[in-house]
Amino acid sequence: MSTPNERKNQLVWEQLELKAYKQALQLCNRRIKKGEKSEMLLTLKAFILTHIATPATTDEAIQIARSLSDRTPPTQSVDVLRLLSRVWSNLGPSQADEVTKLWERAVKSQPQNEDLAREWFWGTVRTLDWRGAQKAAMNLQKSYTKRREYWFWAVVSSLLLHNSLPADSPERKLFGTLAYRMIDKARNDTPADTTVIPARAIQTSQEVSLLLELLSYVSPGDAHKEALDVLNSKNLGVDSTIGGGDWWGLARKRLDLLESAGDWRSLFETCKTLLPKPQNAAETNGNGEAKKDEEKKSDEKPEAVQGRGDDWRVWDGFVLAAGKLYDDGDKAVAKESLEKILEHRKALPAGSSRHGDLALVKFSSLFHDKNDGPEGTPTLLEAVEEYFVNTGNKSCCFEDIQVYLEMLEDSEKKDFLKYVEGKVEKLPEESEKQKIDKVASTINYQKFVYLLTISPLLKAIATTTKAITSFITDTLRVYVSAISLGSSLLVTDNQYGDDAALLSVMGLVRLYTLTPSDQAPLYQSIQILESLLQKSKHNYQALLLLVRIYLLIGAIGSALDIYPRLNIKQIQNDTLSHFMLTRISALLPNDARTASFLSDAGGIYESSRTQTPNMLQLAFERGGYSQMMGFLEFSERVAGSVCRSMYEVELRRLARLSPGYPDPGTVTEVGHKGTVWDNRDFSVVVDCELSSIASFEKSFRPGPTPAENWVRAFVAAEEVIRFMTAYVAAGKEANGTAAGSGEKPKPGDNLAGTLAMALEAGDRAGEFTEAEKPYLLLVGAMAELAAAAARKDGETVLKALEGITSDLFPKTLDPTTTETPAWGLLHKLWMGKDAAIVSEGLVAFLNAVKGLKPNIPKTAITALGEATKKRKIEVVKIAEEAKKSLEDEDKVQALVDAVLAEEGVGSILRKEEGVFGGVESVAENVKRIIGGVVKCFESL
Amino acid sequence: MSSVRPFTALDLFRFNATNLDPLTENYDISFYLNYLARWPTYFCAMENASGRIMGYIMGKAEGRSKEWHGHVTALTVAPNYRRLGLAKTMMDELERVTDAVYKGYFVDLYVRVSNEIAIGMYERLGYSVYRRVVDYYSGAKPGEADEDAFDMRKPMKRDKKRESVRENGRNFRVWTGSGFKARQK
Repeated sequence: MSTPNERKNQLVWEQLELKAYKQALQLCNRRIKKGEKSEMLLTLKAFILTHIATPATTDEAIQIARSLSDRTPPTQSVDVLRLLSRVWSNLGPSQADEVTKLWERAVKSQPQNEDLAREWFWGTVRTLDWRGAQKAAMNLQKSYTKRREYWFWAVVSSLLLHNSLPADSPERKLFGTLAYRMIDKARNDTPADTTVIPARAIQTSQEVSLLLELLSYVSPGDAHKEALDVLNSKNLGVDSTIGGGDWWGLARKRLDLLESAGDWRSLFETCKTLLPKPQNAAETNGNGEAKKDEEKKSDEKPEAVQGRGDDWRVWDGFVLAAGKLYDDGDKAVAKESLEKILEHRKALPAGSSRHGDLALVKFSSLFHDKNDGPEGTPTLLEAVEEYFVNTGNKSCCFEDIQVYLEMLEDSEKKDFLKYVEGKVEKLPEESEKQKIDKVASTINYQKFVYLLTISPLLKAIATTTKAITSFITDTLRVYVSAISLGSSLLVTDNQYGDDAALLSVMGLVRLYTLTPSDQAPLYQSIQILESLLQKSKHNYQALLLLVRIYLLIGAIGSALDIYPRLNIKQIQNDTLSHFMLTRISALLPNDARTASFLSDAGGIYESSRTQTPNMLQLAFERGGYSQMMGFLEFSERVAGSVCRSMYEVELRRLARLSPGYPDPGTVTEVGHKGTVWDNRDFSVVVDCELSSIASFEKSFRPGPTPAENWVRAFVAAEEVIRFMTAYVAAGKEANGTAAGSGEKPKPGDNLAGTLAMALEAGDRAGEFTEAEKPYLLLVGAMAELAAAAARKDGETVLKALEGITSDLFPKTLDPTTTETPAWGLLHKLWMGKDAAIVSEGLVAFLNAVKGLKPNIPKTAITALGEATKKRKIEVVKIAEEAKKSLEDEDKVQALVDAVLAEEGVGSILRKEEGVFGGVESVAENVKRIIGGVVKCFESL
Repeated sequence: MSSVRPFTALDLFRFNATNLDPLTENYDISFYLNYLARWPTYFCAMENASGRIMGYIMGKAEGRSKEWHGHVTALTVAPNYRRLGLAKTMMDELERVTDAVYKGYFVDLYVRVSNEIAIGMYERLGYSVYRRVVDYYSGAKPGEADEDAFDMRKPMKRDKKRESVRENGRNFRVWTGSGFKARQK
């Protein structure tokens, strides 16, 4: 049951939630006037005042907060303390110390109140106030010496404070040393016999991990050695009772440390002890898959499983170390290594030791250039051939040996392909399983073909086209032939031959990138992918490629149709939604889904902001110390994500280009504490390209990839645009007396400079389209003009205006349209239209500005206004021409004919009616897709 | 090539090869971080040589007395890395942690009764149906019927009497509050 005052406070909170600050303040003032003087009411008032945030309300808030904070005895209410902390936090960094002082006084006045002391600590953790957390944790560990966790909270918060301070801060070293000394004491207090451990000694594997993590931060010089000492120690090391809690995590750390320290002897010996014993490996089929006829009871597990020995990290370290030792002159070790690998493989049925087989490949690769190695070492060619024989029916075969195939000489590559082709041809096809295995092996073979023969083809010449076309038809035939095998697959499964179809699309995309004016390969790709997705409804590779190809041809609405099938949710909004949402507001702003997807994607940033601090608290409570640096970095990377800024820019542009969409407000600061993070996942797309050239996905992006400079430039541009709009709006609010308003917005500091720097850097890094560069130059000039207007410098304003009207604005739309109407033209037209809209904003701004010396002639302002009107007409005209061009019957027929050409892919699309629907269906589909592109141009 | 390693918060940026699969649920951030904070050694990723995440397993320790056990919350392998025994390797690791760290009596997991492939795989790994939990899963679409789950268990070393194995567990029906449905909402 709440008290009357609590109910009254609730009314105030309701107003606060509605952002009705003045009403909330009135409610408080009325109660104060009636004589109520409760601490909570006064704190609430101060809290509201910080939200109104004028100089006068800020002063009053400080005054109230000061009087409450200085009361003797200090307040006993945790609720008041919590809210008062928020008041001080809202008052800015200059008052940051006040929160700590407030709690220190309160806690000191109640020295036995552990709950209050903990509450102080949790408050600092939730606000990521590491200075406060460090003090609160130190207080806890000093006051409650029997609670062991407080010691480690003090260590962690000292470390977090250390990490949050600038590198050159003397305090950084101080807190780093403190954290180190405290954890070192815990380490030294841990007895050799850990049967009984003192309270504040290290007792858990998480605390061992904290010690190791701390070493790398505060003891960089000796960190390696010291960390290895810990990991090798009997009481805390990998094989200790305490370390056993995270046995494998620590064992991996030891391998990483040995490798980075170049201690090849120890790495070799350590890996050797971890590798599975042949008899144990045999019991698990080598790859960890238990033999079906040998069900085992849990207490009879083989050692290989217990020890995680058959793990590629161990094999990799083992072979690497052997190679390094061989180079250093220790030939015996290499011999021992080879024997071990061969022994392991011998103990297992052929084909069941994937790691052992691959270790042999890696081992042979070490001697590939030297033509030596211990007796019995196979050549690299022999090793990869054998690997294919054993693993060719697994879809991972290609990526397992890709790096080694690239090491082969040209003649060896040819020999390898010939060998694999021969092996595949001879594979039996009697049973269903054999048929499925043959499809998988054939697909691996085709991936090798792509890597070694298609990927290097970078010139658009007849022989290249012929080779690629042959590859495409071969792979498409594999896909078609495999369809009948998938009749019993589940709806959630992919068909066995899907990767072959994806390879054919890769080939088609290569044809397109070699001759971008010819879009037929893209239309053929769409045909293939849409057919694939009818049978494999959830094949995300196909969905990602289809979204991308629809975007490229300018069928943005069709891409929006497909995109939801990827079911992108939660953190994927930060990592994957860029496939659809990059530059979306300058491609199809007036489709309701555009705004909806952008808003959905943006939600993840608020989720992360609110959820991560609670998870940090949980990690403290549960002693999950080794996770905490990761939680913080995760939260900082989300907060400073390039996509967060990108989507905010998109939403603001959308509000200009899509009438009726509400202004989403200001764009938040770029990055997190100045650092911009790129969390986008491009690598999820299938890739079989040589490592020396760009990935497949990168080869056909719609335009340059926006990154840090792009967001810095466009966020600055949005600030300029927003300033002008706000200035005009303020003038209207002041009944036209623009110059007289005290609340008049001011242009941001050096926006022109920020924009120019980002533009220059981004241009070098290839982040901007040809349409974006002149747009940013235009807005940069507007920023300079605004700064001159603030100085009342009419001469500079006029000069800038004339430059904009005669040069910069016209350049924001290149009227020549030689390209096939596709995404690039749509983007150019929308950017051109947006340039007109922001220039209209400039016209309104110039009309609102008073007091320039000299005044700007009206004719100069009108000239820009006229140019913006003409621009909008011009955009529509170009869009209509594009539409006509797209709908031209001869051109449509030519495209249909190209898609269905009698030779190459067209021949298969024609022939395989059951798969692709037949000639008429394909032709109709091409026309439907063109119709989708036309709609996008109509939307202009 | 595959290697097990501890999952970290930063892996949430990189687990798309698994989480784009329709059968793998994408939870909110706090769900994953909660598991990392509470049961860090129960959350492992399987990566290939270039660091790509091929699959992951997340689990927790729960229960009281003889019900103290390890629970498999999620186990997923990306489509391109199936049929390699990765699920078994990750399950082995979770079982090792249950035995060595948490001293659990058994490991259990829930699986849709219609998911015969998964049930078969778990049976090969030594799991058996302990009970059938009625209406544990929501229907895939609104209006579709809810689905029962099999609670499958495998005894660990501590369960010397093998009390977590029950004859005819498929016929032993229980009605409980729906944990998975609650999470979905």
